[in-house]
Amino acid sequence: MARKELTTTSRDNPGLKAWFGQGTPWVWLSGGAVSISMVMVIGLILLIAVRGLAHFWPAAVVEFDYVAVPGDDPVRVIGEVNRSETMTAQAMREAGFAVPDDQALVSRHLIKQGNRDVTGRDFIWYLEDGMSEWRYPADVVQIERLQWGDFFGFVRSYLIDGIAVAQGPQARAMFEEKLRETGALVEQIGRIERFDIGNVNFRMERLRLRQRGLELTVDLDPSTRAQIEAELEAEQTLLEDEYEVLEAQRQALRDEVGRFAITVETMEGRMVTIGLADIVHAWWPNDMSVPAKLSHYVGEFWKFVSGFPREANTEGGILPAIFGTVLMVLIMSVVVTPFGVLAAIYLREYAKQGPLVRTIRISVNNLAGVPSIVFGVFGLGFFVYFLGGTIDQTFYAEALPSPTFGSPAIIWASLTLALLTLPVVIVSTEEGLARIPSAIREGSLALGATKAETLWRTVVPLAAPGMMTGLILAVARAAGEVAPLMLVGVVKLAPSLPVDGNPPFLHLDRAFMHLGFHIFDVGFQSPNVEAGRPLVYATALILVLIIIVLNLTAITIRNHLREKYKSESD
Amino acid sequence: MTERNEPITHGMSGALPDSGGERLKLSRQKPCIEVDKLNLFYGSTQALKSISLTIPEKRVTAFIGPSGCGKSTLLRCCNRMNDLIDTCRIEGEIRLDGQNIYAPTIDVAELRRKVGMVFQKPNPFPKSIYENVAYGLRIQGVKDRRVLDEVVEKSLRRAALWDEVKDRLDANAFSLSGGQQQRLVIARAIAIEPEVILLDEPASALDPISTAKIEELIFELKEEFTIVIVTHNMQQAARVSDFTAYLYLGELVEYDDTVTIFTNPKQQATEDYITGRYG
Amino acid sequence: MDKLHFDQHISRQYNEELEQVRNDMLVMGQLARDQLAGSLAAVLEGDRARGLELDAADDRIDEFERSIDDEAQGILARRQPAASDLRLVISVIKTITDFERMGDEAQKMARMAIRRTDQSQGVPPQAEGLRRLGERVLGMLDETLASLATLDAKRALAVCRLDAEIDADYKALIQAGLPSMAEDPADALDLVWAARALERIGDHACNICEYLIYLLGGEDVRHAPLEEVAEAARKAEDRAER
Repeated sequence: MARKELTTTSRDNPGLKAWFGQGTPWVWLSGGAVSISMVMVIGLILLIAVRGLAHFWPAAVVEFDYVAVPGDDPVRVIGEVNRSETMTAQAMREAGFAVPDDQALVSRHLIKQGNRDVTGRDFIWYLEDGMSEWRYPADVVQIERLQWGDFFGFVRSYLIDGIAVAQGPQARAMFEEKLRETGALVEQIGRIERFDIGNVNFRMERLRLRQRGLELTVDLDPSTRAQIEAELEAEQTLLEDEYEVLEAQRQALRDEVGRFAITVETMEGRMVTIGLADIVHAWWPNDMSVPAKLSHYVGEFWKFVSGFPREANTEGGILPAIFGTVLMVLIMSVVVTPFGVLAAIYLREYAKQGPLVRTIRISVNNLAGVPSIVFGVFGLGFFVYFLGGTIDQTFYAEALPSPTFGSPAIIWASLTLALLTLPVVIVSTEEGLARIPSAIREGSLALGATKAETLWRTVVPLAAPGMMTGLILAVARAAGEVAPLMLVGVVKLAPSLPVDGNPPFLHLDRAFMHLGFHIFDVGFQSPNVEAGRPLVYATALILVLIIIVLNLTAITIRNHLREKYKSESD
Repeated sequence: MTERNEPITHGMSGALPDSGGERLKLSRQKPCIEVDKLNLFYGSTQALKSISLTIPEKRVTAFIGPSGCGKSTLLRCCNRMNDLIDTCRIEGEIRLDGQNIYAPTIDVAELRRKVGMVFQKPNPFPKSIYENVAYGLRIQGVKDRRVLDEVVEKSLRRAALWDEVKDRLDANAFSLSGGQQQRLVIARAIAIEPEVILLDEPASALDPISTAKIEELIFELKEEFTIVIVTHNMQQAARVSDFTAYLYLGELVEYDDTVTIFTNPKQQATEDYITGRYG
Repeated sequence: MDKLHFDQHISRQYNEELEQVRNDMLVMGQLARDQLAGSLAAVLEGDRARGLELDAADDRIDEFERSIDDEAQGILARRQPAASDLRLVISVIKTITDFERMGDEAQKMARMAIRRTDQSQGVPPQAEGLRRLGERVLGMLDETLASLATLDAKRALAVCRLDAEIDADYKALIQAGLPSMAEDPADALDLVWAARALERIGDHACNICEYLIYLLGGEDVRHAPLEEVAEAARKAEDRAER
């Protein structure tokens, strides 16, 4: 009987009420919410990935003749099609383009034609109506230079010591071959400049500080002073000699590289001579097979990830930013974890639960809601000016007035973010601690363990997954935070990495670069917006990847811990 | 059948079964723990009211009584587990071997090494079987692997668990069954050679077979340790204990040898409780 | 009324089981008593038919013993009784054994009545003494049943005290019957048998009262001197007062 009733309800009475009664809407509602979230997340990552990754693909270079105003002589244009769009003719006319009256819609293309040093503009819009048929000349070369961005043109001759030794295709072959050699030499020059000379400079600066310190030391008898001065003098001479040697080496290499050059014909037909010393990379995009393009792609991507930025960050790589981001997050983790964990342990295990502890807990939770820029201001005021200033006066008096720790630095950025993420760690750790059954504690206490022993041997290891959860959240938040960092340590371009071969190897007093800020800088502060745009996406992608990697690492550790301390309650 | 509630102290063939005249006499036992006019308060509620009793050495003493009668509280007083509760306040004395364990000079951790405890639900640490047993020794700073190995094996043997786990000492303790876990916890407690083992309803979460194993274990352990057990299961108290104390509403109603309590209690309240008339 | 509160368990089923076993015991006791009364009459009046009837009645008592044992066993197995409940079950088990023995003794007398009428031996010698002894024992048995029913330690003690008188009567009766030993040894022997049976029944009654005192006071007074029994009974009585 009951069975029959059941079937009749659902078949004969398919009303809205019955539908709601079954609970189906809730399944759809919650499922829908999840799908929308998923679509948004995946869409975001896909957009960033596609826009960012496409940048490194060697796009074809087009050649066409362009007539800006009907009746004019056609001009030859060579370049990469950056993007295309279709607009109303009205808007175009207002923008100053000559559009026939009977036309309603206009298509236009943004052409990256490079050669900024020659033409002054490297991205130019062209109307489709004025264009001739697109051609793809096989011998057009794209040259990535150390300065002035990319260059498009045709290699006409190959010069050694200013004398043309080859023309046309032969020149191209010789240039291509030589470029590999000079590339290695250029890299070597870079290494000498960055590491060897940097090292000498660093030691000279230290020496200078020691001399300055000596001057500041008052109570020193003249003979000792003279002796030390002499020592420092001798050391300085040695360093100067060392510098001379390195400088000579560098100059020799430069001279060697400087002997080679090519002449390239631009789209206007001008001949431009480019020294091989200025060339990072050259390729013939219309003359590449798919494997060649792939290898070019991988190479470009690698250079982006592992290189140093050039040209106001619109060219070159983002290694310092990656490095700075990761290092800052690591230092922050190292600081925030013990602090947060200890605070949580005190609050949960030792403090007498009462109104005071409750107030503290509420304050900690509210701290998480304070806007991050406020933390930045606090960091600047407290860490940089007060703490850093005090440190400078106490330990680095000889360097004053130029600040050592008294200026934005990676350590202050890390500490500020540690403060920012402290509530997350405290709350997660407390939750982790609260989840541990009291039976475990009692079991340990009953074996004669003191409270501290119980905590460290049993409770804390068990709460470790909770702490890791806190750390994961902290890392995710810290890696993505930009606003406070601008005040306490991030710079547009850092001259050197916070870690290098000079003792003490880790330079916490240095300013650093950060991916988040890099995105902001390239995207909005760059003089060359069009050139920077793809880099914004690529950098954003790297930032997201780094956060994912950091999180995955932490999650793996947490799962490992969970497995290790698995108990019935889990 | 009439002897089912009596302790199994006989067994020599031809000897007379224990009769009333030969029952264990409380007054003839060597005292181990003496509870003296113990009052215990949780905030303003009094949970124990002037309890005085003597727990004899190397015997099994059971505390029985309805829920909330204070038997667990009294048990926890014996190794100062009640210290963990902020609002708990104590008057009176508990003496272990003549020394007041509530004296200010007492080191609580030291006391708990002498008075071990096993809880209702098996609570092994989320570590290996070996590390569970070695925990107490490691706390005491023992690092010598040989010593640890020896103690772990001995303790597991005494807890009748060795044969079941000797091949997987490195396995997580949670891979054991509930009954094995409880015996592991007992092994962990005896590894540090306490004088007294407090058992707080040690078998209430176990199946009958595991319960029987635990009871058998208790019977063997009383050769070496003084055992105090709290149990809701009166038959269990009757089976394993030599002496039984009945508590009701924080008061010690009756304390006598187990056979007397279960055949001929002096107090009507005890009688009503053990015969199921309490209500 | 119910001094040991057998009807106050949380489990009503348990109450009923204990009540049942106790009632059955009392019924069995009544049966034993009736059998004794009948057998005695049969012997004294030489009533063969009655003797036959009572000989068969013993089977019923045996049946009762078995079924009460079963019940008691069930209670032990399922309830694990403690304290007074345990003592009740133990005393019931013991009591019914004694009742059964009484039945056996009564059966012997019934058979004696049959045999004697078969052999036309008439009334045994010293019939008057035998009747008196029989009535005394019957009275004692009535008291026993009454104290069992009312759980009265004082009455039980009184029964125990009676036992000494019965023994004295028995000795006197045997003494009186001895002279006839020479003239009719078979008759005299029957007298001894009958008197002996009555005396045994008295002993069983006394045992049952001792079990009752044990049940009430928890003290085992078997084989103890009467003063101890009295002391135990007093204590049991005191306890019941509280």
